[in-house]
Amino acid sequence: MNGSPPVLSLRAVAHRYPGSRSATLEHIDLDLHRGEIVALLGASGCGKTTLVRILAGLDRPAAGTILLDGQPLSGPHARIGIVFQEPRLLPWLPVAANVGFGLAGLGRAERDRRVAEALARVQLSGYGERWPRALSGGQAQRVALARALATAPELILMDEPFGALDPATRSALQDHVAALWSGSDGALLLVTHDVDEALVLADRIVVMAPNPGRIATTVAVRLPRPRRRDGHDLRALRSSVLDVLGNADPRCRSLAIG
Amino acid sequence: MKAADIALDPPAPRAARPRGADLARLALPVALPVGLACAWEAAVRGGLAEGRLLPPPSAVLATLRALAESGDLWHHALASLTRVGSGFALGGAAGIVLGAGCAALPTLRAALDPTVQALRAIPSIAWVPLFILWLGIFEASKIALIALGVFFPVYLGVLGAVLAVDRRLVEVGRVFRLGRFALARRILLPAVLPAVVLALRAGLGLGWMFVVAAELMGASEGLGYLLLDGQQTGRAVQIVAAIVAFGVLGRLTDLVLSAASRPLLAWQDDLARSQAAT
Ligand SMILES: Nc1ncnc2c1ncn2[C@@H]1O[C@H](COP(=O)(O)OP(=O)(O)O)[C@@H](O)[C@H]1O
Ligand SMILES: [Mg+2]
Repeated sequence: MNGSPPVLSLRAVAHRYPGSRSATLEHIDLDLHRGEIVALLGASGCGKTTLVRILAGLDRPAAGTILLDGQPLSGPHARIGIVFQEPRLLPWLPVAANVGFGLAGLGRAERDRRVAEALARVQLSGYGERWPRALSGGQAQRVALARALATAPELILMDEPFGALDPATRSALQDHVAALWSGSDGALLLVTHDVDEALVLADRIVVMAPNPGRIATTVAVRLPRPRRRDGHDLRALRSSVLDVLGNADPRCRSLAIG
Repeated sequence: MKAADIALDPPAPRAARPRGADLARLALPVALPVGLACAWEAAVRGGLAEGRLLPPPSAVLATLRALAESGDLWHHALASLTRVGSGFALGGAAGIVLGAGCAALPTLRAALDPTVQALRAIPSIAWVPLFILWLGIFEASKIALIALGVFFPVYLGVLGAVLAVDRRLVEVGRVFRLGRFALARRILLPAVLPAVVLALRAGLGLGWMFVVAAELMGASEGLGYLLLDGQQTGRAVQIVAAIVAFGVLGRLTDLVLSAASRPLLAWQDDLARSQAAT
């Protein structure tokens, strides 16, 4: 797609849970480039979380190769950050210590500086002293994003990060992520089952099909930013993505419309 | 400070009601014991009851004062406190080490936990004759009994707490590539701390229970000795005084333990306060 070598490159990645008869993932080929936002779209159960966990180093693939900057990936990597579906903040640490959790190797001053910067990027400056319990769902998820940003990874994985939020907070956070990534050279792999979220954010939508989890097709989203959810181009693209999804999994059409 | 609060508050009925409610909340828990004590005191003074088998509060206080002035109270309290302290330290340490070990190492758990569970079914006091045979009738057998009583709740609490740590938070540690030691220190330890403190407090309570048992079975000092001596000399007032001393000491040591752990559990404290406020 663009000329530079991919940040992350997956070839023939497969996965099977121990004791399970069928494969979770089969022959996944995927390249992620610098500055790119790729949405991984698919019905529930098609293996999106499993793929993200493999890339985060939390699970091992049964087969295939994963290269990060050309080097084989084995286990969690400092240049890959993750935002889980739930914030997963450590309740015994104030917000600032949560954001700086991955910076233990740095000196105090540098750590404080990076934490302040990360909190500013998610617009939560001044929340450093709070306990996680005292945050709203959207704020907690932004702190989780700040924690991932603080270590300045080349690739951030997000597994349905806004799925549990109310629609207004969700679209505000989507706009926020879009603004954060414009002009950034970090790659973002965003898992979602929400077509609109994929359309608003992604440069490319990778549609997955279930049983076994595999890539059905890839849709390039060449729309100018910032994107309006009710824009004409976006609506046209939405129906074609829904068609693809529906073909990938007949259950999906009704899910997405209903 | 208080005056300013009141001055700032408009004299609305809303401000008055909570104050009355506060008073009731403070008074309600003590109303029953204080009321009963006063009634008993009045009954004995009025000649309605004799008070020899159940002495009135004034007699108990007088006995406590006499014991304190002679130094006996401190001597016996210190003896009991030392026993509970030693037994608590031994049993608590063993409970923490074995509980954490069994939680971390499935093989150790498979080998050890069934036996511990089986031993737990035996009432700890049943061991006393054996302990006396093995360790003699003096301090060692008493401390062994207390340590055994403390061990079980601490072991179970620590094992359960470590096994119940949220796997999702452990994954946060893995994503940031913490080693085994860092994972234990930065994720597991803070996650289990509240449950461990609770287990230690339960263990301490059992420690006080077993020190009474140990001292009743023969001791020349300790608050339990005061109990026994009161029974043998027919002085109920001394028994009640010793019971009161046990209660006060047990509560004080529990307060010390929870105060010592409070800074570590500030995040929980805060939660409790914010819930109380809403
Ligand atoms: N720990 C597990 N053990 C066995 N099967 C699992 C496990 N986790 C997920 N699965 C199965 O693997 C498939 C993919 O799950 P997942 O990756 O969570 O999908 P998604 O995130 O797309 O909803 C599902 O069919 C699910 O039931
Ligand atoms: Mg999922």
